[in-house]
Amino acid sequence: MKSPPRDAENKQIIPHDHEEIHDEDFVIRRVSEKQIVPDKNTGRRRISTLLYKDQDNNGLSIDLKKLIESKDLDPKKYVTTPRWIGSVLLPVQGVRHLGCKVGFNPLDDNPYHGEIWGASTKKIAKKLSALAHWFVPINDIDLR
Amino acid sequence: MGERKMILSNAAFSSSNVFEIHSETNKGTINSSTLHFIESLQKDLNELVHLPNGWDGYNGIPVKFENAYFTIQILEAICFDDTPKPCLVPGSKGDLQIEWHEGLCDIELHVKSPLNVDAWVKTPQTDEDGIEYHLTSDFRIISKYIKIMMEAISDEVAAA
Repeated sequence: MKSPPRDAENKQIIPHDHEEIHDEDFVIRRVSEKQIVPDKNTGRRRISTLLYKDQDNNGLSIDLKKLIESKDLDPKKYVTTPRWIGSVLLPVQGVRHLGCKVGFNPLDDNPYHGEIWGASTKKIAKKLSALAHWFVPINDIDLR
Repeated sequence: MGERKMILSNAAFSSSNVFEIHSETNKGTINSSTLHFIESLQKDLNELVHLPNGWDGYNGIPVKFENAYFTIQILEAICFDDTPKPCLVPGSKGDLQIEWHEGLCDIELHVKSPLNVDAWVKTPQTDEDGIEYHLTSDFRIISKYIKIMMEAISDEVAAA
């Protein structure tokens, strides 16, 4: 995969739509037990909208499903541990349709890491939540 | 439900009230609080400021002490004597969100940094998308919504 664009000092990844992350692809967002809230209006527990809200356009971490699969890894196993017990799938086309960018930001310990930029308002966060489907579901927890 | 202290200010950070959040890097010491759920809140905040790096499966950092401290200041300003304890959700950048979901209301306060809070409220009187506010030191509007939520909870109890 092509290296992502960086700033003039070659330090920060610039928010971008990576050309090799296609609209038909899906990205994965891991869910921690800490991001589950009780909803007394429904009598159930669900994912907090904060899972989908970025702070000041720093980027929302994701895993690039297709890139994980291209390395013959099982993405469900890759993103699941006892600490990150669940995960959701987001369609790239839908995310971009909201005006967000979906890019590549490989990390030393996660070469399949990407970012969603532009989810810095509640309105966008709620729309991302509406796009999400379970990838690795958590028992008895609602998506939204 | 009596009148609440409505305005927060930078002076909040030199307050002599409340308690101590233990952190390896920061310590704030305060003595008392008006919140009936302060002990439980303290326990939750202590847990959040001690989250391990990468707690979210990525590069998430623990909740910053100053955000935990400002959370207490906000809650002391907006909560009434019998306001239910909110849920606290950590963000990946040291931020956190205060949430209530009851009485057919949803109230969420995203504490991005002290004096920098995104609020979102949905009640039976708002439309489905709710209303967003950016708040700094004046949280009176949220106190009004808390009151609406508590009245709805009281109505639910009375109807049960």
